[in-house]
Amino acid sequence: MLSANGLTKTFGDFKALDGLDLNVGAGEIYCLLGANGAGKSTTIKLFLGLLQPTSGTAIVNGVDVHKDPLAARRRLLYIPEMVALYDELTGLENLAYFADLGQVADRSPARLKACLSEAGLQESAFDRRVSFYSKGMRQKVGIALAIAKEAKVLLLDEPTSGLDPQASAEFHELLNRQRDRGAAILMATHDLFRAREVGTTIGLMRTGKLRRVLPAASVTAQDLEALYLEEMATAA
Amino acid sequence: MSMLAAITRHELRRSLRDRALPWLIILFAALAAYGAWNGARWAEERTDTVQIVADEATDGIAKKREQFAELKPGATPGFAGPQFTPFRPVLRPGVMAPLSIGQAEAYPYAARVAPMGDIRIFDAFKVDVDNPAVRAAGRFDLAFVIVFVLPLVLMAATFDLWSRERERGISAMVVSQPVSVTTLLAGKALSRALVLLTPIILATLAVLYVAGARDLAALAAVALVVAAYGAFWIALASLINVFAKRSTEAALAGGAAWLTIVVLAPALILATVDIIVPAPSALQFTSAYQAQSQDIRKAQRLAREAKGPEVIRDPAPNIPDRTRGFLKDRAIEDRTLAPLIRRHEEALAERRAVLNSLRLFLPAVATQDALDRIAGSDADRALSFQAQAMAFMKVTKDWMAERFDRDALLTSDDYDHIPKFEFKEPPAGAFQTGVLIDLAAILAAGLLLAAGVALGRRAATTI
Amino acid sequence: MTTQSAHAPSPVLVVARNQLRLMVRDNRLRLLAVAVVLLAVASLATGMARVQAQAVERHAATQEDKRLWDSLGPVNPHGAVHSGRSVYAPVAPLAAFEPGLSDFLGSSVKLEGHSQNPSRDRPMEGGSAISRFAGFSAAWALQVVAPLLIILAGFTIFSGERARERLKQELGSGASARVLVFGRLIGLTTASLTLLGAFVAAGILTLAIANASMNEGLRLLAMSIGYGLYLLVFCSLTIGVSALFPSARAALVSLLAFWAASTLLIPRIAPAIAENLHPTPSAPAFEDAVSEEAKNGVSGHDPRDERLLALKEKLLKQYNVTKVEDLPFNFEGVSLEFGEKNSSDTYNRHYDKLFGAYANQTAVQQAFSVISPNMAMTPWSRAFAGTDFAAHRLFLREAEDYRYELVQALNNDITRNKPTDGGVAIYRTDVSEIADRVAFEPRITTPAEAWAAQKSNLLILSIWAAVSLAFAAWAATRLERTT
Repeated sequence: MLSANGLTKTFGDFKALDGLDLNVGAGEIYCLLGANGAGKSTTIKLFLGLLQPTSGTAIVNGVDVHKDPLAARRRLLYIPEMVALYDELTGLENLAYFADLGQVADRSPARLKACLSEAGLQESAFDRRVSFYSKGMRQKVGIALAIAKEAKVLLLDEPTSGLDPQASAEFHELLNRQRDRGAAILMATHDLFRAREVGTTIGLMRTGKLRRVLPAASVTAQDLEALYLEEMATAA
Repeated sequence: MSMLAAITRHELRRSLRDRALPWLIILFAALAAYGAWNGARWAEERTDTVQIVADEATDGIAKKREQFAELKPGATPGFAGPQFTPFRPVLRPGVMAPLSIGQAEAYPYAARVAPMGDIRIFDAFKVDVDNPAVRAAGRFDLAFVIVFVLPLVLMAATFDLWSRERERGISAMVVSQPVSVTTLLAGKALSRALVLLTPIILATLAVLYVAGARDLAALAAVALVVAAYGAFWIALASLINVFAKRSTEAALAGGAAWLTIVVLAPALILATVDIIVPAPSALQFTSAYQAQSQDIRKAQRLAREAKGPEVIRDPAPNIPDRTRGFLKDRAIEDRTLAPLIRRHEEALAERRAVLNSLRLFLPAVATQDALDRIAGSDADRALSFQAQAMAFMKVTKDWMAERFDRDALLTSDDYDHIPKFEFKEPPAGAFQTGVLIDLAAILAAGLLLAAGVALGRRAATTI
Repeated sequence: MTTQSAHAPSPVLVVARNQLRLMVRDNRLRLLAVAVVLLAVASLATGMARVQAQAVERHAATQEDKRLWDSLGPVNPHGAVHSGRSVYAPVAPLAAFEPGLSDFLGSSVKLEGHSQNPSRDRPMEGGSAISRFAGFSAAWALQVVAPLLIILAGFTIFSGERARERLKQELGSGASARVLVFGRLIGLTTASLTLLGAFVAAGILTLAIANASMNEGLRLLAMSIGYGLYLLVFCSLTIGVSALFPSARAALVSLLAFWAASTLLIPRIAPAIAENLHPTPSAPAFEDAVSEEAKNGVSGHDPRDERLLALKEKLLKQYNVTKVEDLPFNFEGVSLEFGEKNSSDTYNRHYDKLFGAYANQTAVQQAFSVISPNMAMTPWSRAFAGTDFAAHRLFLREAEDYRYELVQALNNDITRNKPTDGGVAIYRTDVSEIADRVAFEPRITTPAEAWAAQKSNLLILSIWAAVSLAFAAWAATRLERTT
């Protein structure tokens, strides 16, 4: 569903990503852990087609992102750290717009409302302007879009930063449901605990390289923390 | 195409909820109304002034009729010599004059033609007694509002076309959708153009109509010019937004662009042209003309005096031979001075040609030029008037010479059949070649910017 | 809480120095400032070239005019009066810095009998659409572009998310809002005055190249005092608005709106309104009114011919003769002198009325300085540059005085040379000799004259400066409370 083969990206002399090999299958949540500057955002941008790889390929749903970024994005959903929406529009209007952009097949108001409900947004909020939404509510609109798009691939960048524990838990519940639907989910995060809880696979990145890949179930949270600190401390 | 429609629809919805937009449009409309009113007032004053001049001829002829009425039977009406007939070719303001005062104050609008006179028929109308401080401030006409203020209004409404979304992070959500950046920016530009330019064009046409400028073809031309110029600025805002990541950056770039395109570039280019192709010295020409004319007339006077006292034929002709002599002298003087005049006019024409060609590279100047031409206040119309007035003077000279040959003074009725000046307007009026060239220049500039947007689109997606 | 040692600099100066450092390190700002100075220098250079060329042109024209007059040879003085002469306006050296009205003022006046002609040959004649875009000069850059630069440099000093975060830290480390505001203001003002200094230095350089006198230097100094106050106004307003609005967008929009209104719109609207309120006649209408009044007197019932007749009667009685031919002088000359006085007086009356209308228009424009400091700045700048209407009016007055003196001298020559042959031969004389006795030495208004006329505008600028400083102080107190 999502794979990178020898994916490399250099900016001048600086190597942001160095020969990344990665695979995320259907029903898998792959958590990419690493410090700022490790290459997590670069990886996501390459999968989105917003950056051109220096070498290697990024494949989304069998489509080479570099060759046909629009096709790649059709079955993909990206939820950034800040789900920013148009303040002057309502939640439903925002969803309708992004559904239009995403070329979602069924964009009827009924369907969109159903998606918002499934994502956990209260009905009373549908027609309120987004300027009144909390971060958690905006996240839900993002998930609603994923549902509407029937996205086979989800790319998430620090999705739970800034969320309170309850909202965070709700969000991961939704993620699990998408996973159960067969989506391939790549999540860049700092949250070791949640990564261990929710993830299927954990990848540790540093200085553009994937240092270690391990199944989430194979470690405890404390072990994971120790491994993480060990990786970060090792000289390049 | 449906993606473009979806984006445009969405952006229209957003624009209609922007509370600042109606105020910007109202501001433009208010200034446009004032500009058009000012223009109409100016046109009225110019019409009155032109009428005063035209009346000089009518009054002069009326006086002659009075003198005929008082003429004793058998007396020769010496006052009815053709050389005493007053002619006043005038250039009335065009129907669309409220649109732009343009160059109408930089060129004479009338001429005092006396058949025996010299070429300085426009001199009296090159001066005026308006307060120069008011003139120097620049006329606040509708053309000023369109050329200088409209871009500010459009910039204020579009400077954060995309930068706002980038600041807020919405851009990340949008670019991760399967939509091409060019379609996105095109949709935004299109919706802004519709929401802004539609009321702005309607307001422009409305204020012109109310001010009395009602030529339909000209109004259509104005609409096209405003649309093209407006589209240019919206395209510029789009280009700025390809690169600006923050709204304040975009605002600065927009302000700098306005300053450069509307103020600095034309002024600096003009200053440069003044050095490379300076205007021929009017003072020098006047001095040289005066000197040569004085020499010629002195020589002619001396020759006349050498001939001795005038011998008057018997019977005395109606038109004294002395007068015929003056006509010959004038003709010689005109012929002798012709090369000097021609050289001066060629130099003026050359400079004007250079100035005119510059507008192809300066959208603000092209717009000003187009509006001036539609309003009939451009240099070409004024020059055409001058050419027609000079040709008319030749007609009056020939008419007078013919009457001299027949020794025919005018009768009271003859004054109804003297040559009449009718100014011929340029063909194709509002859609004359000059306007079409201007439109092409503005559109070309806009397309260049659009190409820039397409080429630089990758910069718009950095999140 | 930090304690100040005896040698610690005052906090206001610390803030000021910091502000200057930030501005100097801001690449974009540096670039813009350098660009503006370069543009001004370019305009000074082209302006200077133009001024020099104009001076040369006018000098040549003056020489040619004298040559033409001298080459008339023996002619009838009154014929020479109708032939006329031309005089040329002096060129102000500072016109390169502040062209003022010079493009719209005639460069020459045709002097002839029975007429007081308006000046002619204005540089703006005969242009094209692009001619409407002329007008960029060093002075214009100071009046319009420098304030814009100040606004762009200063609007984020206190407004915007980052600035407000920083402000919290600065207040937290012990500085009061007043210290911060005034420190930043001093920094911004110092930078602005440095920019002004660059302009003035460039101006002095051009004056030096043109071998101008100390007088010109004094004028430039006077102009820069005005500009200093003017820029201070914009610095204070920028800092004040930035302190008042947490949102950078709101601060920028309000400041830009004020800038656009006060430097672009009001300078165009005010004269138009002034003209509406105090209209001036067109040239043909003016001429008509003068001719009418010259012929029929002010009341319209006092025909010139009758007055001349009365004069004739009076003279006949005075000299105890019955025919004009018996008078001991040429009555034709007396008649010409009378006619000239009559028309000159009429013209003077009408021109005074016209210039009175101009003065009323100026007063209306000055009234707008309540909402736009530019309306006080511009007249001050132009007056000292010698490119305002007062300077031109001086030239017109001197031209008219010269014309009247010359024409009456020529007419008087006829008076004193009574024909001995009963008026058969035309009287001729060497008119160049008569003209040599009358001198025309035009001058530009002195700095003292400019000061007398413009001190009200300096007062207005000072009031603006005081009010805007008070505004900044008030905004400082609001800042403390709302952060």
